[in-house]
Amino acid sequence: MKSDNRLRQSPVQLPGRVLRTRVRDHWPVVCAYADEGDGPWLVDLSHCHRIDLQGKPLGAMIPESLPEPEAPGDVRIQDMTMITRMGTAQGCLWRFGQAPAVTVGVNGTAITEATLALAILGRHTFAIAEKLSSLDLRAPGRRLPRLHQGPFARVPCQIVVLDAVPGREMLLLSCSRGYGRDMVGAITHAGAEFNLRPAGEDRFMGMWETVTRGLSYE
Amino acid sequence: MAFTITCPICGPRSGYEFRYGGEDKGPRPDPAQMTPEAWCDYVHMTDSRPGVQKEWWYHRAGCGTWFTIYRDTTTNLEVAPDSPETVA
Amino acid sequence: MIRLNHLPTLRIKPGAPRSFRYGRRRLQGVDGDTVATALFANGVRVFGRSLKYHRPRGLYSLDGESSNTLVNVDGVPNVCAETTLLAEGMRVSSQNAFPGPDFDLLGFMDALSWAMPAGFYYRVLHKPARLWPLAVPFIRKMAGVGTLSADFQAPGRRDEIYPAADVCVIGAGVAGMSAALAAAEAGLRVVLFESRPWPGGAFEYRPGTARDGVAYYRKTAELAAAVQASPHIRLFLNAPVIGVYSDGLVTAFQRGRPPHPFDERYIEVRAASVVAATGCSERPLLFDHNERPGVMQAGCAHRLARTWGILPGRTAVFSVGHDLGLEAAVDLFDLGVEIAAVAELRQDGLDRALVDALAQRRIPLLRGWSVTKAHGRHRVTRVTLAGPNGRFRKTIDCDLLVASAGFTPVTGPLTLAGARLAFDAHTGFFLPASLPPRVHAAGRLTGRQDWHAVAVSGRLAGLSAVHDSGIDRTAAIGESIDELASLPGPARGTQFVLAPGSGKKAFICFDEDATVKNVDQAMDKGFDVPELIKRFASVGTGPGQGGIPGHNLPLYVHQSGASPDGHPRPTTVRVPLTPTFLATYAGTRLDMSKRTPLHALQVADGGRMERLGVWHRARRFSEDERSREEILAVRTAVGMLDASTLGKFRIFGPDAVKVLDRVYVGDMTRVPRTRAKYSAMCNEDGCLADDGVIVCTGDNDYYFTTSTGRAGMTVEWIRYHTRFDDWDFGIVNLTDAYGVINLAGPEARTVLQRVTDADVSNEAFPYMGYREFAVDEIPVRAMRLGFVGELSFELHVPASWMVHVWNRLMAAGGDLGIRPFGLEAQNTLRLEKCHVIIGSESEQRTTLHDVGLGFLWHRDKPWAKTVGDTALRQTEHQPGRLKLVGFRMADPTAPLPGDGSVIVDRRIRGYVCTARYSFTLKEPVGLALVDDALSAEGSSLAIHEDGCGGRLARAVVTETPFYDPEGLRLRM
Repeated sequence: MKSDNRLRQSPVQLPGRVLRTRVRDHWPVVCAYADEGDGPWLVDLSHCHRIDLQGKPLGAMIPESLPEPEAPGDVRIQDMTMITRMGTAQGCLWRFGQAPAVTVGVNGTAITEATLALAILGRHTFAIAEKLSSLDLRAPGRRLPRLHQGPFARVPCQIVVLDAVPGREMLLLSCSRGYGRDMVGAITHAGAEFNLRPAGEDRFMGMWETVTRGLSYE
Repeated sequence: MAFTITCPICGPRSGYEFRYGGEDKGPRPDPAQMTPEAWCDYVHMTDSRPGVQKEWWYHRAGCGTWFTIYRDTTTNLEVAPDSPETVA
Repeated sequence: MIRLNHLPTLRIKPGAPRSFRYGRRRLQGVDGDTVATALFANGVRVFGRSLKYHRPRGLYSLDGESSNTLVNVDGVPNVCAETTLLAEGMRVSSQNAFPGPDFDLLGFMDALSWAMPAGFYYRVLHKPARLWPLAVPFIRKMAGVGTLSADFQAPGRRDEIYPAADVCVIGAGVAGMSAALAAAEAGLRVVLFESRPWPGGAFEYRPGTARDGVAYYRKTAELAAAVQASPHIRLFLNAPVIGVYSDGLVTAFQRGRPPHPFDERYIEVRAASVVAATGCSERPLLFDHNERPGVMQAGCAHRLARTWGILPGRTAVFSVGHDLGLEAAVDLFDLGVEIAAVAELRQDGLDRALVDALAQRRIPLLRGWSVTKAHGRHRVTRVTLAGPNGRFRKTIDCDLLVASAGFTPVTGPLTLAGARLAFDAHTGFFLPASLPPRVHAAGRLTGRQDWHAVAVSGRLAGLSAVHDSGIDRTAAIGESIDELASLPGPARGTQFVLAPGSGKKAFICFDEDATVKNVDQAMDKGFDVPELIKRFASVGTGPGQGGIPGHNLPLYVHQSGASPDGHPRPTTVRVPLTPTFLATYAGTRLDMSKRTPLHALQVADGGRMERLGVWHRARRFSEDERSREEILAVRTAVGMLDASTLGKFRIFGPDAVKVLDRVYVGDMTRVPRTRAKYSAMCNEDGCLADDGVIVCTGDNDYYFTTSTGRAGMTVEWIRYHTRFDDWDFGIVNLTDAYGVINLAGPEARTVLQRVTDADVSNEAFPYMGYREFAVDEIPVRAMRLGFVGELSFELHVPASWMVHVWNRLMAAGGDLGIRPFGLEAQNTLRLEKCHVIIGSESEQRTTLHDVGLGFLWHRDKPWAKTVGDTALRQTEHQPGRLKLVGFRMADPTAPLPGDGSVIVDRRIRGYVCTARYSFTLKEPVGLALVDDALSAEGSSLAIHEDGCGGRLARAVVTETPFYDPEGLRLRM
């Protein structure tokens, strides 16, 4: 039996009324929720492609057209692709929006299914984060975007701070998929006092373009 | 565990993010070349001397790296690798 | 009561009333009141009764230094009235008093105090021992303050916050704020903790003038405005510090604000530098009835008037030993309190301006005098003063006695941070003799009392913190040191503790009702160190955390000559510096757990979910605790288990096989492409750590599984055991990436064949085979394993597709009686097959050999230096070990022995690992670890169960496995 209406399931269900959905590679991707408010927002990005890269030297494992983050914690962004460096010989490649999956060699492992991905956006993003993590996500003198690896809501996470400028705060988070329900619960609970609301992918992509436009690494 | 530990990848972090991996006893010897007693000593015996020791830690809540630091067991505080106390 | 509502220092809004209940009375306070000030303003003087003697107690201090003002608020016992802001509609009641604090039936206890000397419980009720049980119920009822019901739910919401900071300043007084501003000027991020609801510390309420002629409160308010305007300073008000730890870790909590008095927030800061600017509390003056309601500290009396607009009394007598006391006398006189006399402990060194001010107001100043006794049953009505050497007595009528011997520096945060204290004879303080790196002290706790000196010492501490961070501040620090040298240094402090008198009713510790006499009794028993006297006489072990006696006890012991080395020694300070609800320390109760992709589906199917380690899993799908229907479905038709929690990993790279050979006991050099290899990991002792299967998915590319509980530490384990080898490999945890469906039962193949085009026949896909194929175009990794003892397929499905594939299989097997089964069914099924579960059939000391898995060990790969190899050699034939055996009950109708029951033969010879009723064999079967002497087939085992009353159950060691010993069903 072949069916065209097969759907995948995200590890994350956000508590909001869905306004518009589009299906991408069998993922039902929420574009917008009703009544998203004016921030902060929580966005499910679990459908975005994520590829773990390991090998020495790491640069050799990154597809040729893409930039290499040089030191652990560095993040490089090119169009819809983000590459984080997790260690001397490990990195992670993210693809956002409509960007198709990239092909990587045998040193790449698709981990989209292994993890969940969330974004917290907009004002009070870091006020929410400091209720859940003791990591110093906005240490001065550190260039953004930057990767932090450590506990968030007690769970080991990969956290990318994309921007911290008021009005364009962007924080990406990924951890083991199984934590989906409890992680959303923890963030929602911490964000309640700031009126955190679920938002669709469109909200994320809009901010992504604003924040990543003109990023330079010189 | 209130002390901080400096992860070579992530920098100084709360000690609670790490797992202790014991004193540094050097590379794994070849058991075939050792008496069972000597092997048992390598596996189980530690110096446990008060003062600065080189020891292993694993950043389990972070980057997943095993690394060594120097730590003064009398103060529970990390000691810089280039400080005079680290010379055994 | 009428409030003074014109004062510029007020922190209340007199026009904003707040009504509340006190017992049966309906009272009114105003916005800004604490519960204590609101009660006091309404004429309440006796707040409660003391712990042992039920003595009346009243308002003595304002920062929670003692348990005097613990009350019940909205059903919560032991709430500190002094530090809890009043909220509209609060229900307040007194504690430890029946029928009420003004008349308490247990008040007679005070007359019996002679019968309860220090160490009463240790000494008096100790012998004969048979008296103790008789005394217990009485003591239980009498001891402690406040009552709590067993089902009490702490009200309020708790959460936690981790503000990032470079510098943490404790105390937002003049010094703390100056330190914070100095650090903020350099761009450092400052967290500033203040336990009071507003900044300003010891200066914010005082109308006196600094040397530049500006009033203290004005200068302090300017400083506070600068702090609040600084983008780099985060000021936490109402936030007492709990503890200070190594490497700049400071913990605190923020008290709730009206209307939510019990909401509390736990705060944790890791700062590069810590500045303690905690100031001073007042050191009590000890005399007979020194805690009678109407006796209060100078700051308490002064702040009641200046901050809350409440006159603390009509006629006051002062007995003080410091200028702040004189200043309060002058100011309270100006505000309308009649000051009958000021007794001053000091003969000289008094601030001349204050002496002149007293004289101008015709307030008698008695130098070298002190109060010796307070009179009055429930509140002060009269006091006796005595001149030097206790002569020249004088008795004066009054309703307020302001008594304060000196100051106590609040050094708790410094000592917790690792500072060593030494006694300083000039100030009479225990001052830090050495500070740990990146810890600084500033302000009044160093003995300085002058506004400018306090401010500059704060600035110096702030600059030093900046310097710590690597920004050079040598020049500025030098300037501050010079400036400080030009300002008044630490003031000389009195060491006076006890006024002339018996000391029988001079209370050194209010919380525990400990008197000076009790301390004498302890010293008579030979105790000579405050640390020990504190415990024997219960001095400073109550909720005030030593706030009242902490300084007086070592001074008094020193003055008695009992101290062995002739130096006053402080008692040890411990966390929490300020006590609060345990729930506050717990913070946000995050209990993070994992759910499989099938979680909702399993629940919908009636799954009884259980928490196992980090995961939620289905134990069974019916009321039947033995899961009979699920077991029979697998044995006779087909069932499906959600096994998604299995650990799953990819390991790859040129050295991947070396890594596998290091940690697995088997030979990993030849894992064929199409077969799954079962193997085990041991620790260095040869004990079983994990088992699972390894498949080869490509060149130098492997996929392996681990047990559920082991998944979380597999990467750590592998990297640990290869940390000295510079091997080139990658490892990825795919545990959550794939859901796992165990499709098991004689009809399993039929079901699977219906959903895939791949050939899954026994020939094409034999037992222990590994295949990759598609189900509904979804890529699936499949292994033919037989954990439950039937034909079964373990399907590894991308997590997001799990629900889809599960539903497809369920639909495909509907006509065959397919049903989900849970862990209980799996446990019985695998038990019949004698397949071990690590942790059930093994414990810390169980080797691979002990559980009969020695055949997995490849003894001939010395190059691998396999973890556990040496121990496996040594334990292979070691006698006296516990061996895993199967057993049946001698009487098949006997009840099932419980898991963990011990096997005895005069002594303990082993234990039952797992025992279940086998529906297939229609009798109980089990696995046990027993002495090898008992492990032979036919051996009789005697099983002892809790509560069996010596009637041992009999079992017999039998051949294993119990079910399908030839293993034909796995290979169907």
